[in-house]
Amino acid sequence: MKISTSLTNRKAEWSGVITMLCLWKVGSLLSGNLLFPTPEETIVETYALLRESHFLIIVGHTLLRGLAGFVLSAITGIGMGYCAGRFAFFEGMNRPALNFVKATPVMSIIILMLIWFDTNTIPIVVSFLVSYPMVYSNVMQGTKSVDWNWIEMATVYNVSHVRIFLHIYIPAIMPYLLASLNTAMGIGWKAVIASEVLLQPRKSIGEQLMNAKSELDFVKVFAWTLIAIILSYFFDKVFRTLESRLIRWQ
Amino acid sequence: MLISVHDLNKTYQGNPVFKDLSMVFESNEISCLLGPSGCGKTTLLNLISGLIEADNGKIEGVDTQCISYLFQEPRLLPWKTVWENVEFVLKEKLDQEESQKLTESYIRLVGLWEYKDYYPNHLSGGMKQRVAIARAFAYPSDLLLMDEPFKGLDPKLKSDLIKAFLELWSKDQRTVVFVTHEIDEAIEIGQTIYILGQRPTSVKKRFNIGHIKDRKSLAPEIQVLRTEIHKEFNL
Repeated sequence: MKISTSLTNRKAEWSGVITMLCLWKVGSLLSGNLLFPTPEETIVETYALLRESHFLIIVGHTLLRGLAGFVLSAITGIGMGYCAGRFAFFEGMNRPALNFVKATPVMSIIILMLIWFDTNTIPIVVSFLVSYPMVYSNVMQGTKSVDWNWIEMATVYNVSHVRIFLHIYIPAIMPYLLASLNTAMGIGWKAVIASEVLLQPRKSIGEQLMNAKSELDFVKVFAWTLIAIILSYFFDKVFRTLESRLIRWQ
Repeated sequence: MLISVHDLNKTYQGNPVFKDLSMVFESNEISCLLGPSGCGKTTLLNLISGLIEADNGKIEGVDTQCISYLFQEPRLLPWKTVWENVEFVLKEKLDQEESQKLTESYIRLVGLWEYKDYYPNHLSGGMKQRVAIARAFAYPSDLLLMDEPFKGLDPKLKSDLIKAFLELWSKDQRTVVFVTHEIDEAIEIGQTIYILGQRPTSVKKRFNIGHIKDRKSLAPEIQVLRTEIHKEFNL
């Protein structure tokens, strides 16, 4: 039953991909290739980019920025979210700052950051600021979801605080955490590339996108976009695999 | 382990739950607390286990390091298998070899060996409660507290679980405080039955039934006892 369901899902996903490719092809044929390259042109250009000597350096720089923002938001989000879930006062104290971060437009943040940070660091800070609220809120929710009955049971059986944390809190938080990290990774990745486009740090996907746009090389714009999408898809797959391993019991 | 409760007082949200409650739970016996809902039976178990504290009075003979507690709900960790749930409470108490031996032995005794790698959400309500029973017995305790652990189960399942519990207890006798509001359950399980009154709760009457082995549901003495208990509850 499970196998047939996953097979149906896969078929449905592939049908979606084919439909999108068809729409893309029709769109490019209708609007002219120059402004809207075809899928074939994009794939050929992507392959050419992959073969360029500095490709890995460019992607590596952007990936590192994305990863740095992600790790930063994961560590602080887990720590702060756990404390907020345990202590109502801590949650209340953090609420104004969190609302401030959530409500501030990303563009305002980038402009302000230009005063304090260099262009290589700003994408990391931006990625952190868009991802952190998600991780924080989900971990807080996960911590609050811990059934007090489990804690009582463990207390009666003299289970130490460390084991209660490791064997009750962490597994209870895990589904919330993984879901938030997956979304945070996706949004953080987009934010990194968006800020790179604006700030154009050297050797970055954002800089390549902006250069291609200035040269009216739309095939290249499409190719770099496709690369960014493929990388994002890869992260999503990694998280889904992690999810299925770490929360097998669900 | 003999446990004596002396002049226990406990107030909950301004309402007295116990007023000078005193009782004794004999060593290696099953004592049943029989009383109406809301009379503070669970509160008494929580006081004995140290989960809450009394306003005054004292409970003697309790070492909070050595208590097993069978709650109304199984309280299993959903991310741990049957084996892991039982072993979870033993890891810090026993060395690895001994904890594995005990885990295996009690999972077998409750008849769940084939399900040892199952997660709780793949078990029925009765199976989950059997895991909780295995956990309570596997834990090296002197005192076992049981808070209506068979409540809400269908009669067949309940009778199977009571049988499983009594079998385990006869092999591994401990002091048991068993809370229930069902007269027949108390008569089937208890060696001493305490009848508790309404709040502020005190002991209305104490019955000694004797050893479980001698008991047959139709024995005339049991019939008399049943009638007496019914009278206490004005039934």
